[in-house]
Amino acid sequence: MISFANPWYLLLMPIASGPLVLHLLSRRKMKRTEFSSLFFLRKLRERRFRWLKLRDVLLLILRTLFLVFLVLALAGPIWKGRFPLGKVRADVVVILDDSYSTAARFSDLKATALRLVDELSLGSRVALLSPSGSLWDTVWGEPESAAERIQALASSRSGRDLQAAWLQALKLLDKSRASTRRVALISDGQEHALGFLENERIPSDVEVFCFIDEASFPANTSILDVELYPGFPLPGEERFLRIRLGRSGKKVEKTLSLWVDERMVEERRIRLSEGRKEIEFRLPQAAQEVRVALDPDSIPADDQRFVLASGSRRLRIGLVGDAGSDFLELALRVGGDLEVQNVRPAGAARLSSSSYDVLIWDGATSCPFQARAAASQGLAVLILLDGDVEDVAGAFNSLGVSSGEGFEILGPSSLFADLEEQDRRQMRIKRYARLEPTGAKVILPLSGGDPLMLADTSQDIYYLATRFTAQHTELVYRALFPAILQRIVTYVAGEKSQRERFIGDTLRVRVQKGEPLFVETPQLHYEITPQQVAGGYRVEFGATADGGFYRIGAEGFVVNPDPAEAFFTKIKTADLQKHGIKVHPLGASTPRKLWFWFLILAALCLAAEFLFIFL
Amino acid sequence: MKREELLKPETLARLRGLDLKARLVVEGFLEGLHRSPYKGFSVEFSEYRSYIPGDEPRRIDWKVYAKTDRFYVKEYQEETNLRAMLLVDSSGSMAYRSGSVTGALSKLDYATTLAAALAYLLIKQKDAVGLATFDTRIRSYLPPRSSRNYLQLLLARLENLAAGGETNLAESLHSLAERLRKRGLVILFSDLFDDPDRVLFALRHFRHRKHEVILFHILDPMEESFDFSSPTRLVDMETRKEASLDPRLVRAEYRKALEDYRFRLRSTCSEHRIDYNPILTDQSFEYALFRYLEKRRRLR
Repeated sequence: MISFANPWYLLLMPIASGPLVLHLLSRRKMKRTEFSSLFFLRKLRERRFRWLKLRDVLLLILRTLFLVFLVLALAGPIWKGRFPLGKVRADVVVILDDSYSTAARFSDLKATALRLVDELSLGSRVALLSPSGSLWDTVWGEPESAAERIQALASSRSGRDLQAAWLQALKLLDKSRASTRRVALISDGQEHALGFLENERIPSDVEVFCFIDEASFPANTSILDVELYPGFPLPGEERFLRIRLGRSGKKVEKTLSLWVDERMVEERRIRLSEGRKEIEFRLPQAAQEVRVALDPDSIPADDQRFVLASGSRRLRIGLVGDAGSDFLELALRVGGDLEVQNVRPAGAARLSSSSYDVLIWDGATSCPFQARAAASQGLAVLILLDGDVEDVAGAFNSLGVSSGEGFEILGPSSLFADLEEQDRRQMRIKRYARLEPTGAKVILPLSGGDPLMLADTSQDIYYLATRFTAQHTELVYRALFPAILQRIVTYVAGEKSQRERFIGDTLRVRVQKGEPLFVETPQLHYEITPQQVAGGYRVEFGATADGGFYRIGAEGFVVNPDPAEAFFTKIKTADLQKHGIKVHPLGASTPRKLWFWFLILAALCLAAEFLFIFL
Repeated sequence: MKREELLKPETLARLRGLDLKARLVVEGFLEGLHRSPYKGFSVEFSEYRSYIPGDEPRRIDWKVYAKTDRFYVKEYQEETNLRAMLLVDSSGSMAYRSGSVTGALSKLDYATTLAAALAYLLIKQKDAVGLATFDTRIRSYLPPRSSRNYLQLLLARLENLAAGGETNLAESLHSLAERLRKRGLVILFSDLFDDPDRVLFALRHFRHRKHEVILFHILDPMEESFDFSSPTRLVDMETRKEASLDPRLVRAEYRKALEDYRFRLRSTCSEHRIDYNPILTDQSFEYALFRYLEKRRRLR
């Protein structure tokens, strides 16, 4: 079915009869001339007149068609195929996926939603839901108002699954008394977003339609990973940013730009001939906030990354010591880049995130409750385990923590070679600790003396097992220890601020006082008063809507687009159909604007006419 | 009036009387042939005259030279030794003229003027000349005579000739070939709008009868160029049939068809030693007269 965006242009259609009228008039007004003989023309007629007459007719048709197509193109033809839902009176919940992955083709999704609403029969009711929460109806509404709201909707930058919206849809339909009840899920078809449907129980009296964009994404260049190097930098040490890029589809030249503290410092043209490429930037010494950006393309979620670099800020270390802490303090003070203060164990429980960058607890065999209290206030805590720890199992035992509690182990993987298979599966080897000094080669194998770090990321508590003592006779090891320790401390301080948060996450800060705090977001700067909660105050910044740098009081956060939004594995429609879900391609129901094709047809007619004339 | 002017069709178109036209054409033409080397083609001695460069050496009378030590050439009394037959096509198509009424001759006007001039020249040279006009059939026939009074009859017949009817050139030519029993010169004036095979067959009929043939293929410049500018409904002057067409679209094809036709005529005529002379109605008569004299000379 064809409709027109500007139907009044169709009034110009009579001009298409112009060539025919002119043709007839010219025949009537043709000059009559006496000629000696049609002798040669008769011969021509036999050979060519039939073709010439045909040519005349073809030219007439082409000229008429040219004008017809031109007028049609002006009228803005729109092709609407048969809509799969049909015209039925129904209560319909429309779940419109507005996650970041849909950004490049959100207009197609919206067009389908609008068509769906437009096709509803009189008396139908609509509820709109979107995973970002921009649309979250709890009552039914009219299709007309729904259309207006869909029209006004923009895609969000957060990446959220659709399950919450699905559950809300079922809740709404549960209350509906309509004879036909439907859920229409309009999505780009990411497997991880729609996969939940395979495990859902679909009520027998609810029809579920899924409109999925089946088109694969065109050429895309993505930032796969951004890493600061060295990982455990010493204060003042030169830092680099390693960016790993990936490509799918054809080769496209793109611009990669590096922004440091809101200033663009470098721009490079890149063209990935291989699938992947690693690029390194040298960061300025004082760099704090770093942004890496690619030209936007079909998957915007992987086109920029934000990184907080610790910069040259002097770290403040709180040291809760015991008998061996003199040596530790000495190791931390070497070089003079760290500010070290001694803290009594009893006072540690009262510290907040603004007191120190890292609190080092020296000489524990398990996590002291004061250290847990400090960590709960947002302070990064590093516990130096007392004595030698020869194997991972011993470290776990010494902490009294079972391996199933989500610990991450940081350290050379060779240390875990003897690990039980079951324990190995439950632990995730994150990376090798970069303990080597910059520009030098490690000449001393630290087997048996390797520092082993455990990180309880849920509480910001890090455990470091080492056998340093004042009596340690290994001179080389003693010489290296300050550098190793300082790197680890820098890492712990940086890791806390670097912890990945994604668009849509809520940012929380605990403070001791209820005084207003200054909040900075990529868009807004304002003051906020902390809410009182048990044991202090808390500031909560609702769902973040943009990627970038956030600051609440003294605490900085970096928020990135959810990389899951850049994964584009499509869900298998057969799997959905097995569950009774009716799957339709997005394009099947999207009205198509045809003006361009009519313009092409008009141009072809014109070209054919020229061809006829000049041949 | 200058000699060249006398030979231009547009000049003659302004004059009345075929007699006058013929005389002017011939006089104008002969004036240009200073001391005509063509003078005296007969065999009866007339007089001596001094040799002038250009005279053929074989005509020098060596006996007189021996007596007088001067070169003299013999001049001969002209005598009738040629029978020429002028065949003029008077079909409807011959009435065509593309120019304005005063500025151009129709093909028939051109043909009659040229025929008259040739008749004048032939009679002046004491040759016998006859005339036949035809369209679908022979309309008039005057057998060859050489008297001066006969010229007036020929000219009167030519002057009163009107174009009309369709062409059946081949049939008419065959009839004429049958009628001309004595060998002679046949001069045909026609636009030749007929089937070329039949026309050529008819011309070969004359050759078969040992006639010498000069063919003047007369066309109007517009017939050659087909230079109509806008879509036109053309009316055949013979059949009154009509054809609506855009001349721009068929021009190239038309010209090619005409050229092919001419080429075929030329090659077949050459093969059978027929003088084929395509001629346009805006062309000077001088060319046609030269062609005749060339032929006449070869016949000596």
